[in-house]
Amino acid sequence: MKTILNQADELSRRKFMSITAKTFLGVGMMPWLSHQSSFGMNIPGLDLGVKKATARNVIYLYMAGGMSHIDTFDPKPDSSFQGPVETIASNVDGIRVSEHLSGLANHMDKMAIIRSMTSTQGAHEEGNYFMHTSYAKRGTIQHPALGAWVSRLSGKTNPRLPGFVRVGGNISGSGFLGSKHAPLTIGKPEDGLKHTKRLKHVDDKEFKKRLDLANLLDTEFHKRYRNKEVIAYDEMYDDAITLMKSEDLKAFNIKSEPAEIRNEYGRNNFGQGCLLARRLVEHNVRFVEVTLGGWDSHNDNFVEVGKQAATLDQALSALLNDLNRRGLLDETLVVLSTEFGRTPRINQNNGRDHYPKAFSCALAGGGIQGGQVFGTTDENGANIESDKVEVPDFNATIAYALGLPLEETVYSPSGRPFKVAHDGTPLTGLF
Amino acid sequence: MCEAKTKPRLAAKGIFFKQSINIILVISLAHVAWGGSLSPAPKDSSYYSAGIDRLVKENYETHGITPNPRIDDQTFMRRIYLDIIGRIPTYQEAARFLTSEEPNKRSVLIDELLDSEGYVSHQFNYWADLLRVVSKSKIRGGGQAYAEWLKHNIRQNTPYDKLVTALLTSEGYPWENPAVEYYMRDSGMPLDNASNTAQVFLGTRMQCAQCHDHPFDKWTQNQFFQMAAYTYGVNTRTNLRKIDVFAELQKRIRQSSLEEKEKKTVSRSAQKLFRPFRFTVTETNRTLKLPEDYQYDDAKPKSKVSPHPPFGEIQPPKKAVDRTEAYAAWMTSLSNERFTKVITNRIWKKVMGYGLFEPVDNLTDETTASNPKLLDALEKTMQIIRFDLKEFQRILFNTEVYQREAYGQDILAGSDYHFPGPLLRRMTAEQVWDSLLTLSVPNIDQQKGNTNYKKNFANFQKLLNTDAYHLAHMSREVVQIEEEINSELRKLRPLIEEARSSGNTKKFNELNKKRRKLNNQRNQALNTVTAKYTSNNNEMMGGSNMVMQSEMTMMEGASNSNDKKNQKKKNNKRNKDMVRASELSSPAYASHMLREFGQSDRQTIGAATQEATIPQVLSLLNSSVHYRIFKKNTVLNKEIWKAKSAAGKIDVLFLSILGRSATEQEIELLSPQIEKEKQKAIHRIAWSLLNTRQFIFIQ
Repeated sequence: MKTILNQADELSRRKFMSITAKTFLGVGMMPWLSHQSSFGMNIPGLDLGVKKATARNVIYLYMAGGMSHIDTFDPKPDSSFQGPVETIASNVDGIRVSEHLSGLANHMDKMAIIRSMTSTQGAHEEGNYFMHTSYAKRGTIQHPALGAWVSRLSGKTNPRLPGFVRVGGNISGSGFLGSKHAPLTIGKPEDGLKHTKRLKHVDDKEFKKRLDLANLLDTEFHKRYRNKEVIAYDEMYDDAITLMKSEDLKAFNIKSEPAEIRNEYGRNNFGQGCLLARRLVEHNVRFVEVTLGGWDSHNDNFVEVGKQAATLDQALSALLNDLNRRGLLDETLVVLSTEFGRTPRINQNNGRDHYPKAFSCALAGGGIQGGQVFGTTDENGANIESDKVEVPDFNATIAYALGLPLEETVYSPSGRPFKVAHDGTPLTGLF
Repeated sequence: MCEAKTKPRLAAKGIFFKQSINIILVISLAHVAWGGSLSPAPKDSSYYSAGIDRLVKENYETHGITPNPRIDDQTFMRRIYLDIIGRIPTYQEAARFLTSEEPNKRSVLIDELLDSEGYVSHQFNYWADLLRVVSKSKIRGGGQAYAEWLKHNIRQNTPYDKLVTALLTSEGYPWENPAVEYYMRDSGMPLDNASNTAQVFLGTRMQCAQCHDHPFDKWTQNQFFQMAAYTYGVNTRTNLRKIDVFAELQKRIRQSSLEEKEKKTVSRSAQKLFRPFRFTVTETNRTLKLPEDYQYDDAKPKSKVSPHPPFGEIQPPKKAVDRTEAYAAWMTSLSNERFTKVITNRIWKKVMGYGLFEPVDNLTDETTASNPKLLDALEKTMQIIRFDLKEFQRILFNTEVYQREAYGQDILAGSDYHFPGPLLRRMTAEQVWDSLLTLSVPNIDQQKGNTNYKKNFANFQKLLNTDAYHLAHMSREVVQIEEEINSELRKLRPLIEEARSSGNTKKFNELNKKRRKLNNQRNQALNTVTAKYTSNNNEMMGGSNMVMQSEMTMMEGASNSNDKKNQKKKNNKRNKDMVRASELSSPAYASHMLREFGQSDRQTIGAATQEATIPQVLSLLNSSVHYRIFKKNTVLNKEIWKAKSAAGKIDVLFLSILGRSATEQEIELLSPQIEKEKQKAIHRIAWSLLNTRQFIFIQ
């Protein structure tokens, strides 16, 4: 009987080759691959030039719960709805942000703020789903999140690591694209990826023996059951075993970072998650998502937003600094998004409620022209005045930066057609 | 607390289901009876089980389906244990069932499991996911009390309609009525709570209509607001000044001879003491208004909304403060088709792995069941047995269709499934965790989690029985303790920061330990103070006992040489982690194995997943799970030790982990390994069994 270990090696290699081939023949972007050798291959002359990608990897920061735009990136100092939060100048003339973002104020030259986001979904689950997938949640299909689309449309650049990693958060995954493109989820960044070492007393030979035995005991089961859930586990075992042997595992270990760096990001799950994200993109993981929750400020908005914003401000400032220092910012697109904004009107609990009509998101690095604001809202932050950006447009912009084929149709197993950003129009002016 | 009215299970024979005419007859009888004072006697479950099988079979014929064969006793055993009590059977349990010669031993086992504590645990996990039960609440302990309340009602088998009514009409403090956590959980988010209520109990998605007319369904924004108006009066907070003793206490502080500055700090401290009393659920006459950007012609922005249900008839509330009562009555009424339909289909799915319509909570006018006649009959059954969910499951588990081999192919989204057998399913996260514990911890279903919340609650209530004079002194003493400890903590903080940034781990850990100790000291001191003052005018003996107890704990804390005790404490703590998922916090912490395997984060309804991930596989390959099952005195280890021969040990391993015996070839292959390598081979086999797909899937 063929051992699982050998199978795993060959399988993932074959899989990878076929993904790469598909990528170049069907899509033909990722120009950096021609001079990229992290996986020991040079494939020159295959850039068919659909569109040059400006970014290679994405760090996607998701503000779960609905980030108040007025109290962060779109302050309205002259509005009666502003509340007690002050507005401060940034390092770019004319761009002002809330006092909660005093760190990021010094990075505005690297960021493009979109103040004219609008969504059609006003509840958390639906809004979150829409933001991640570009499709409204429907009963009959699970749409893939953007990270899964990246994995599906352009594959991995490091075959030994997952293409899509998520730190915290657990709403949408790979949908109909299947577990192959699903995110690897890290619960606590400090723990990194747990259990990657064999048990004590189990050497390589014994490990192999055990896997062979497990496989043998399952012979009958496998004959009888071949649904996608079972196949997914077979594939996960292959992937996990490949990963156990990989040198790249150290990418998950943030404890090897100097204390000053770890402090710079903030010693909390989100801060450390951002640091982990940086290590992962350094190892060519293509899409890393980090979630910061707690933005659902129906009660005590100014206190609650202050807390979350402080965490965000520190972590994102550190991330931009760090990526910049390492020369990674040009090739890494940093995305800041949320499901919706919050009402300009302050409710009876000193809170703000859900507000999908107008909110803010931001982009940095990865070919984005920093120091700009796209779109405006009115004097109260209630209505969009110019350059409305719908959720699919925002996602199309990310896909555009990665050089993904926005027009390519991918069919679900039930034969329904879908596209990466649901026919959104990329904001090419931001690049 | 609401409890089930016990109802005798009547054994009766009949011809229900035999012909559709009979069905209609019985159904209409049932309806007539529900209106009057008499109701038709529920029949024995086998009567309904047979009826279901007849309708399923009819459907096989219509669609040309060949049913799967009936499963053998071993497969049945493992499946029924996991489906009813949420864990695999122990070796003893397996042996008992398999050697039983009772002719109807499957039904007997079903009855036994349905009445066991394991059933409560497993059902709780299901409902905790649907109701988004969170342990962490506005009030310390509120969430835990709610979880215990749910378990209590599952144990009592409270009818589902009564349970929903209890949730929707709940009022009071969580220690008076833990059901209030249903509203407390969404404190400050009444609209979200309203759309969640519609989704979970009526399978109706109105989330979209919170902001605009629903784009794919018929609901208008106005309809959503009219529905939300029923629960909009529910308030989750109160003003402390309404509590007499608190008002008096504040007055006393104000009029005291303290300096102004100290008055402020003492007053703040008093507020902190009384914080738990700020969160209570009361129904007020608060009126819902349309949003200011309301864009449709049928009503004006900001206009008042009067309550109206999205469908069906309602008995209008007499007063504004009776809205939830009217709403609950409408919701759970027998004429509210969606209420019965949704719970019927949910439980069917829970048992068979797939709904008669999918998804289970997105009903629209276009929703059609894969077997409409069956769904209809099931709904009627649900009503006749008066939403007795345990009885409903008994009926389903006793059907032939449930006891067929599992279906292990894909069902394409959007296509119908006609139940040649139940679906092959991956264990839920809780089933994985609880099954692993079954191999290690004896009597796992009886092991209970932390119940400290009860002590908290007792302390809160003592405050109310204490007079303002004592409370004032207490508040002042609390200030002193806080100040003392805080000043120590303030000194410590920069040192910790320094140790951290210089990367001095040893120092950092040392200082952190000190910090924790200070925090403990504070808590203990606060407990002692509370006990001291609240016991003075507390007539009950418990009060003075409490002081002594707390003082003793303090003394224990002071003598740090007591290693044995510390060790014991540590062991206790460890045992507190080795309990079933339903006894841990809800949800488990983010990096817990339960979350790894897809336990719901309790943020949205039904957020649990059974998807394969790399961390799950790594846990099964390399985590301490394998050490835990082979510790001294674990369930598995004891049984292996008892079995003398290699073949006997193999039998124990296979039956304990997979619920099946080893085949002859397997015994032939593995016996020599055990004889030669002993313990090493046993560990290997256990490891391999846990890493089969057979382990995490339910056949």
